[in-house]
Amino acid sequence: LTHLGRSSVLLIGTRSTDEILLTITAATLRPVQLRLEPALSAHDVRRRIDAAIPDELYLADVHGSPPHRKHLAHHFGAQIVAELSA
Amino acid sequence: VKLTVNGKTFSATPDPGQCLRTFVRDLGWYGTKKGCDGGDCGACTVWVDGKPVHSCLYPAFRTEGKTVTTIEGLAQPDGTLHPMQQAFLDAQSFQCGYCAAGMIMTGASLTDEQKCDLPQSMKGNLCRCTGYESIRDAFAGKVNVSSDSAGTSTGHSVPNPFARDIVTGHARYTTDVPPLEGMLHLKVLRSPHAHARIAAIDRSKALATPGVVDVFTWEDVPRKRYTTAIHEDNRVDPDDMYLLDNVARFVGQRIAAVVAETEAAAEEGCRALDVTYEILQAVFDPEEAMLPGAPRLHDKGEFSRAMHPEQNIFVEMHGETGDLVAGFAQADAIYEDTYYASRQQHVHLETMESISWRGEDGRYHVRTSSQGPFIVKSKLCFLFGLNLSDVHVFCERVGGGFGGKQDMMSEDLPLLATLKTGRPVQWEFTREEQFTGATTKHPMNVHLKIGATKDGVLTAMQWRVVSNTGAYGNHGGETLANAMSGPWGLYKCPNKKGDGYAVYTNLQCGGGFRGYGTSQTTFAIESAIDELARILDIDPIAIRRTNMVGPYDEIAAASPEISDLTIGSYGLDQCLDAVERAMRERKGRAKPEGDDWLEGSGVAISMLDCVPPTEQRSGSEVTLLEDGRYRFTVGSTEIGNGLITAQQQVVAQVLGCSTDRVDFINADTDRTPYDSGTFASVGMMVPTKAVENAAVALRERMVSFAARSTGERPERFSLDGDGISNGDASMSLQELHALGAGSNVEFSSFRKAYGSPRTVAFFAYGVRLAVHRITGEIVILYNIEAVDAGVVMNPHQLRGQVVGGAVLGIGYALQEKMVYNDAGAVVNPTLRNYRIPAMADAPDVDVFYADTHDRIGPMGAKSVAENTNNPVAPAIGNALRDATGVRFTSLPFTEDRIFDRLSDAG
Repeated sequence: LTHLGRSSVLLIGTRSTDEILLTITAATLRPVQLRLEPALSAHDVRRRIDAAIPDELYLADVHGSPPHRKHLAHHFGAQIVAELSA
Repeated sequence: VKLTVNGKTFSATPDPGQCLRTFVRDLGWYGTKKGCDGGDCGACTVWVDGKPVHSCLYPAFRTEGKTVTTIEGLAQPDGTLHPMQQAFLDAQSFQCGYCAAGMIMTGASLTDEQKCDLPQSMKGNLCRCTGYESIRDAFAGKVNVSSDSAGTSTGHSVPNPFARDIVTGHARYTTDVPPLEGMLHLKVLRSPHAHARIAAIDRSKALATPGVVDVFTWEDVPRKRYTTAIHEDNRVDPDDMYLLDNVARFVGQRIAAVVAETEAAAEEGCRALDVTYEILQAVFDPEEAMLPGAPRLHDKGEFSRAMHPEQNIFVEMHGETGDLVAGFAQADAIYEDTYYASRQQHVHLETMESISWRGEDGRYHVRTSSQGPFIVKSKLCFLFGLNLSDVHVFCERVGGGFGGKQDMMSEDLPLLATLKTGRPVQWEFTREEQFTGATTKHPMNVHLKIGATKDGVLTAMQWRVVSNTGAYGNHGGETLANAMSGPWGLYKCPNKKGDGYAVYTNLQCGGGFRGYGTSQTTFAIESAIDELARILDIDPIAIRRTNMVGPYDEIAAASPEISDLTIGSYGLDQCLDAVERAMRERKGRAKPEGDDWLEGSGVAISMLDCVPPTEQRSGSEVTLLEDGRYRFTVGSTEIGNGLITAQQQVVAQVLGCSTDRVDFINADTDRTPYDSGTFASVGMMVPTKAVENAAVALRERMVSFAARSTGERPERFSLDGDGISNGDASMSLQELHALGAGSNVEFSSFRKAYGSPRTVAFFAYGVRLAVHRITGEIVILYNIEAVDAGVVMNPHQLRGQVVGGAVLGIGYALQEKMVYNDAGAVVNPTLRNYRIPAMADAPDVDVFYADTHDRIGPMGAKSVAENTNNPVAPAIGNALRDATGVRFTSLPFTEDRIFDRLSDAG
């Protein structure tokens, strides 16, 4: 929420030939990894993230509210998958 | 351990768990400061084997065999400054100076590559005063100081007289002195409950703790009602506190004080206290607190001066002028909404701290960090039944204030302990205590309704302000009065009605905070004016021009009363023009690429009463010394406001010399004349006026003596830096002094100043920003603050006040947030979790000065500091509205609080 401050979310995507490994941390109480098939739609990425991360797994503190962290996980998750699928 | 510090070898045993910060200070290197003790602020930065570390986190025992360099060891032995020290000196990259040692230690260790990314490289060092501009200037090699010449001192960026001491670590803040013989340390046990009666305190285990000397609870202190708030007249604040109480009214209220041989033992003693609480029902919301059946906080009788304690209303105020119903009937458009102006902590980097002792003279001395040492002295005398002549309170350097030190918070308990034990006592607040046990800005709910004709002429304004004063009234009444006046008086409107309430709740107290109530209502009114302009499809700057007070208007809020507040100079038009011009030229950066970034701009204006309506007085003595130098005394404090420099300049200007000939003594109840305190932006208007008055009187005295001695007319004489001359012959100041001494004439003049009549200063702020409609991230692309300060005494120091104030406002608008849990406890009492702006958060700020000359302030100058942050939050809100179409009414605008309303924006 501040420039160069604490991370609200941190997503890392790595691509192998047949899958994208999406790591979500900072937003959640523990790191979460998803194995996703390339070219997944934004809608499907959101669905898969929601299946893996129940609302109560999102961290609630002064550096980000759970709804915002979830929203950013959706946004950046879809962006990463799209970029790695290109 | 054996270690080398600044080239000297030491062999010392650190205490178990001791950090390097206190270890090097124990060895006598006081340049290393305490800001947070959590590794967040960087004030304690030192080098270990050439690498910068936060010494508050670095275990002392790990320095075995290592070389430690503190700020005192950075210069060469012959005194040649390190280039980074010289750069900070040239750029005057500090105000209070408390962060400078750490900044320099980090800065001096950076590689050229790291210097290219200062926001990243300097992220471990925080500054609350400067807004970082002058710090960036140091890295850019900029010279911000200029020297003055005899008789033309004002208007120059004369350096701070403490500058060299600040960059070398020798400037002494409150605790930067060797411990006094037999000194004890004090620690406080604070309430874990928001509302509780103390049933019992068992102190036996605490007293049995090794090192603990004594324990003080409510049973040990005088049962006298008082207030911590500092004002000339103590009756403007309520007497609703006890030194230590048997009822806790907020989480963090002090319950007991423990004094011990060491800080650690005192802390251990606090933990060993066994307190039995009888929990009471608590209330945190001020609206709920006013409802029937709400838990009641106070029952101290009529002498507390609380108006309706049975409804938890400390004070209410109502005013009406004109005919509100008729006014709204005339309106073509009406806007109504409720705004929430949030809490903000001062975060002066030097926490509150005091040292008290009984001197060989049998008197009590208190060395402290205060904005009002004289009032502190009178409060201490009242509480402990001491004679005024037996108490001495003084400040040396003060590491920032921002209104936080306009309360007596850290002086009373040490003096109590000194009185009880006979020994010197030191008490330092921790950073956490600043967040839990000190004051904050008052959170306020502002409901308002305003109407205007289709041409944008205001016809009616109505408002209701509910201020959460917390557990005690303290500054609640005066801040509410301020919130109810200036921001509304800035607009001409025949029909106005205002209702205000300052309400007790079981949260920590609001206090004095830069802006003093006006930041909160400025946020509401400046947002509402913008909204009304949009409804009417009028330019937001134009609607302000239509309605803002002009140079010959009366300033009136809702109470049509005669006041001594007057427009001594008027620069609001120039300020608004400058902001409009800059916004039109679209100065600054372009918005980041991408369709999701939306761009908008916003403006806001504000007005500052340059002296508070409560009384304000000061005095000064200016003396010609035997060696031909001058010395002035003044009771005001230098808290990073640049006041001492300005006062030096005034003396030099009047006496025809340069500032390097002017010595001073300030903020000392023994050695300087009485002063009401340095708050409410009075520094320039009252104490500096007293300094000017005394300097003028001294000049007259010198000239008339010379005239009498030579039998010539006084008009023929003039002063220059070295002497006095009549055009034909001159005499050195030393000779004049000797001549006077020979005839029993002392060249010394004492004069006073009083804060009436009062003038006003004006401000306009404009901002262009980009907001990401998905993430909610906000980037400031350009911002300008236009200031009507009258005659500018010291351009660089004034700029620091303006930029620093703007960045404080940016912190308030975009990031600073105190969060409480359901039990009323602050959940983020650390700088890691309460984020003040770091360099990365602080944009460049464009500054414009209106060309005005005030007829009331000294030499045409007037106040500035306090109000520079006020227009920032509403202007940012207006820019967000412009960019997104969404009006945000609740501060702060952090991403997680705004993102869900941005999805349809654009």
